[in-house]
Amino acid sequence: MQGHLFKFYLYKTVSILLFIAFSAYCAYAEDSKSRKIILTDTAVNFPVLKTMLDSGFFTGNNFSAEYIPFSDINSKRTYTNFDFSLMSGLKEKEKDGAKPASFNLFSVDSFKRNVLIGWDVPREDTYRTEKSIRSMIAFAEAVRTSTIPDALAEAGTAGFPGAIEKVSVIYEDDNISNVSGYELIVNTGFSPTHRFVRTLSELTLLTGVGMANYWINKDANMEDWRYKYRWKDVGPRFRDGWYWDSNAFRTNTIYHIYAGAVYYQTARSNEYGILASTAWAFTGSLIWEYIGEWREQTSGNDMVFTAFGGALAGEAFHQTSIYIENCMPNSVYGTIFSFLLDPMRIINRALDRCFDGDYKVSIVFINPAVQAIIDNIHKDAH
Amino acid sequence: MKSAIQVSLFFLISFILLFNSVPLYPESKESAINKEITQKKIVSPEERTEYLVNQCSDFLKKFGWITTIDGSQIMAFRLGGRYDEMLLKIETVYDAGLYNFTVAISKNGVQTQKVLRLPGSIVSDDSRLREHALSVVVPFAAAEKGIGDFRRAFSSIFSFGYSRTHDGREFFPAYAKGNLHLSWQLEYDPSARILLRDTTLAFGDYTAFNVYLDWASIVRENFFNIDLLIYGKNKYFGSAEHGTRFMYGFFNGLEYFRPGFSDSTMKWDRPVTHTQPYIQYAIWRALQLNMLISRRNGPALYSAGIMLGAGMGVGPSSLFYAGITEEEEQDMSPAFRSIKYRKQNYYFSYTLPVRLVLCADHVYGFRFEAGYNYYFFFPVISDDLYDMLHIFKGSMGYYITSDVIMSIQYERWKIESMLYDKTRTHDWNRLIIEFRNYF
Repeated sequence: MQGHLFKFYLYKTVSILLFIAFSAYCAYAEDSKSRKIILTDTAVNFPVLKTMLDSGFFTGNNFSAEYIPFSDINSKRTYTNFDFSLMSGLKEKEKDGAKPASFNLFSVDSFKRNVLIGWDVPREDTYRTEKSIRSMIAFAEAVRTSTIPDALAEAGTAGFPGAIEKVSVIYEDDNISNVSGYELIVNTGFSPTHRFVRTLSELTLLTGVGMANYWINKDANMEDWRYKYRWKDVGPRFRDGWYWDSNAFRTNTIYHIYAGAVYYQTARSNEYGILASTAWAFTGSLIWEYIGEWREQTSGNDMVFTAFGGALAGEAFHQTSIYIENCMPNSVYGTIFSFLLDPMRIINRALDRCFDGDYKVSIVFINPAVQAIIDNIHKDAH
Repeated sequence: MKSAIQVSLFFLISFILLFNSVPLYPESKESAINKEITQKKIVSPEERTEYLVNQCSDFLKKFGWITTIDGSQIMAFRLGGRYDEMLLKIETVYDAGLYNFTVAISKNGVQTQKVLRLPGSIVSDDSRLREHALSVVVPFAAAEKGIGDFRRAFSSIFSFGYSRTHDGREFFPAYAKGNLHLSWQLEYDPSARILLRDTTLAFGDYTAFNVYLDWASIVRENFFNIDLLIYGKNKYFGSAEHGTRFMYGFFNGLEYFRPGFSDSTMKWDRPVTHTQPYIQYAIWRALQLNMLISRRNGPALYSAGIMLGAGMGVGPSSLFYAGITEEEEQDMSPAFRSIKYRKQNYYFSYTLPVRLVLCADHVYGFRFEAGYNYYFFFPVISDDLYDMLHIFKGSMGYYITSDVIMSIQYERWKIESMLYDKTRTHDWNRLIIEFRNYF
């Protein structure tokens, strides 16, 4: 009897599990259904979407994409059952010496209103182009099931498509309070590769400057030399490990802390956070100890004070520098003080002015009346 | 028979699982009409205000804001290394068939107001009404920068003063020569503005930076200290005018102190070392525990703080290594070789620092402060030696304007050095008169 009962419960449990598994599979299949997107390049000499389609960008991002040449856009063929429509073009007005690429993405919101999302990115910047397209489509998807503010909240927490620096609301009329659209200023920042390469390059350059100073003062530094530039010394150089060095108090404290602070600020000004910048200060210290001071045994106290002391000092100087700059805007003294405290921030900001990373996103609700007129014009034309 | 029961049960369970969230019958026409009537009814402005306040509060939370609702207003704060504060207030008036929603927002001191004039059809529709209200809030909730003055969470003090130092046990300073000094203190403490019962503080939600430099004819001192919060808690009980704040957490810290001597009366004999400061150190406090309790009573603020730390130091110097020859030094501790350290008086150490501060501020226009700093150093190369530093401080200041305070401070320093069961001590004191400007 008990054996039958066991079989009964076993069968029941297995049946329920199978049913749940089947339901989960159905839900997954529904969820993973690729979204359909229609692509069009309006500028003949700038077929960016065609290129991205050919490179597999849309397939890789789970889109079922159909490309329509701009010349065919007014053909009698009708396009239905698509989720999004994405159109690229070139702006007439130049920015930074080049015409920026513009993109327009059509979607609908949860109230079934037609929404047009438009943005510009630098023409040759593949990273920003791909990142912005990926992010904007994700945003448009969020819009389909919620409101624009909610979609912004959802996308904002997912890093959409960079830091949202400013949001403006456009009203149809102050008296009616109907929202006709939004304008966002978004900063995409730099690609991880760009940030990594620039940070590493700057740390290497700083090590070079340090080494020049080291060799200028060669006589004073010779006291600590234990190795030569030869293969025979490579093994002992690493095997001997770290030791407490015998440098002067000021060298072991102020000079190493300041060097670490500059390493830290190099990373901080390349958009790394506090922890990542501390890791970079440690890396900078390693580069100095193993390359800059190859002929000496690695100093443990230098590693600690350059990396961790430098990171703390770097963050304090960084905040003070920003504080002074905000207290003394457009002041030469303010800039000088800021530079002395956080030189790499000022230098990298000057470099970043080549491209500030900001771009504007406009989100516009297409008025139903205007949409109807457009549809009628199309019908008449056909 | 049994298998038939099993199959029946399977289908029954499947049926329940499949259809338990789907209505079995379509909505009746009558109930649909009733629902429509309910949606179109004239709702009270108060009820709509309450609805919107709750919705806006939930919406702000999505952007990382910490919110508290007080009637028709929301107090919101955002930490995370960059402090923002916002006050949002909603008022609703029903007038001539239209609802007027006044949404007033103040973010970081910048105020704005938007009046939404909406018909009843929108107002009674939760999702439409919500979207209208959120459209006003979203520019302030989402924007990372560019709105308001971010300096509200910062406080800074610039000080300028004159000090006299006396080397010895005598209480009063005796030297005719003194030092001019400058100091700068910057504190980022956003949680001091948060009046919530309990707030968790994360990495970088508190930093303090203090630097002191002087131009000396006798003792030239350079000092700086940095505290950076790793993780902590902030608690507040009471109102903004009369409340108690309790903040504690784990920090990381860095402290540097190095005096230099230029007057012959202050120098020790120096056959071994070049400069002979009594004490010099640079400490990286790998971990420190800070606790602060403060009580606001109207304009007066009473506070007590304690810091317990542990870390590593370059330094200190030792009283045993002053005035000795190189030959004498060879027989002393291996942890300590001034000849090795380029004729400088220090050793590498593990450090246990303690800091206590008591303060009564804005008490009838006065500020009173008392403090005690203690440092225990012992060498990283194991040997029977240690050094201790005690600093006792007391100051009294008077606010000559709301931002400028004139103060007088007395400090007493004492060093105790121990080597192989022998101890030596040295004392000195300092009197400081300074002006502090609060920004």
